[in-house]
Amino acid sequence: MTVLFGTLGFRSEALLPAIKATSDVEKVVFYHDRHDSSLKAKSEVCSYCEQLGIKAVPIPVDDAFDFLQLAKKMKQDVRKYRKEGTEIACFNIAGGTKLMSSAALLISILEGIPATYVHDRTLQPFHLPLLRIKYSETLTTKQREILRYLIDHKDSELTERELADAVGVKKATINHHVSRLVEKGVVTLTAKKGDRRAKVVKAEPAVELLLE
Amino acid sequence: MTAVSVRTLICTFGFNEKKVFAAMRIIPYNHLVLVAGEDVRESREFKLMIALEKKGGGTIDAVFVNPFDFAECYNGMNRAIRKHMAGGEVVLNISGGTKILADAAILAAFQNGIEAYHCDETTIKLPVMKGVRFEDAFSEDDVSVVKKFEDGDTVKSLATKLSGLSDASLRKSLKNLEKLGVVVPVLEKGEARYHSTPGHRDIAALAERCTR
Repeated sequence: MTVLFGTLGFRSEALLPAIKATSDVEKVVFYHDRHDSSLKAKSEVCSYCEQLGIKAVPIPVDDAFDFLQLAKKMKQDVRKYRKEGTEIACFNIAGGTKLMSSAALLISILEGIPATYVHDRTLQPFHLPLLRIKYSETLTTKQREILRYLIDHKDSELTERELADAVGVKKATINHHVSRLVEKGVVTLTAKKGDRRAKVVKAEPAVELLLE
Repeated sequence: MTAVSVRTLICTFGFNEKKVFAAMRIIPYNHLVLVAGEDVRESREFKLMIALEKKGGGTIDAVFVNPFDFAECYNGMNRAIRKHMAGGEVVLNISGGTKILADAAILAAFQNGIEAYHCDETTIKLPVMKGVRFEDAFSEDDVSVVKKFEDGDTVKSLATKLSGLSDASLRKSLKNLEKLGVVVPVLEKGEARYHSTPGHRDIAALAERCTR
């Protein structure tokens, strides 16, 4: 099965040309907010799909301005379809709020999905020059393990010493890995309140999107 | 004499200076670059930005693009990033300007491995792996193949054009380019012909970008 993902705002024209330009689409999964104009556009997309015998799956989003939640939801859906053996033809990112579009692009980059942008005036889909890079693979297994632990314990104030004990390595080893992760911009180190010699390690919130 | 590293903040910019103010408050920088639509040049907001930055003792540049043309925004953003990366560190803020401009900036941030933020009422740091650049995904052999590649090439036709490359190296490169989503093999009359994917139809542009 081939699925097309998309974001939708007030204009169905931002999504329909992408459906038309993608061969053999069986299902269109698209995100929209609950604004009256978005709901009208949603009906237009659903009606278009129905006429062509394509299954439309509209997904309402609660907050079209919450970038991280939008990206997490999109990642979850992409993974779900892939797990079922579905091929994702592309993600059309032209519709919706700026943050919906940005979240869709981010997921396309991180999940290696071709992305298109339907031009406002010509209504022609432009194919974005994305590379399928598994960014998490640029980290070592241990670094991924450390990041996963930090994400799973994001509300804790873990020092480097506590982190070393938790992942079963020596303090010097954790220092080395944490330094590399800081250089890559995925974790931060801050002085612990009340003990300036100890450093608290935190994963950047959006880093969760990078990991498997 | 020690060289002083310059930190350049590149911001997408529309008609709302407040979107940039948030980034200016949060991200330390020495030099400011605004990437904006041509129609912004004479605006009150743009003039205000120049005056404000000069008053603060900073330096400011601007890059003007068509903010509704993805390719132009992406190329303009890449030019700005590469120019300033040569002189130090570059940080990106994507909260201003059009949706297309912001999306082009996100893609450019990932492909150049630079820190990127969406600074507005809340600040989101995008999960860009710092230092992981577009060109690092290509080996020297891959770059040679891309430079000589023409749509519809076969292993045989490429081998003729790349006499210095062994058959095994050529096949390995084609495999990597396929994995990256740059080319796709199509069986035609019993022979595999390689076609560029829709996002990489402009092979000359790709060859330029993947060259170190």
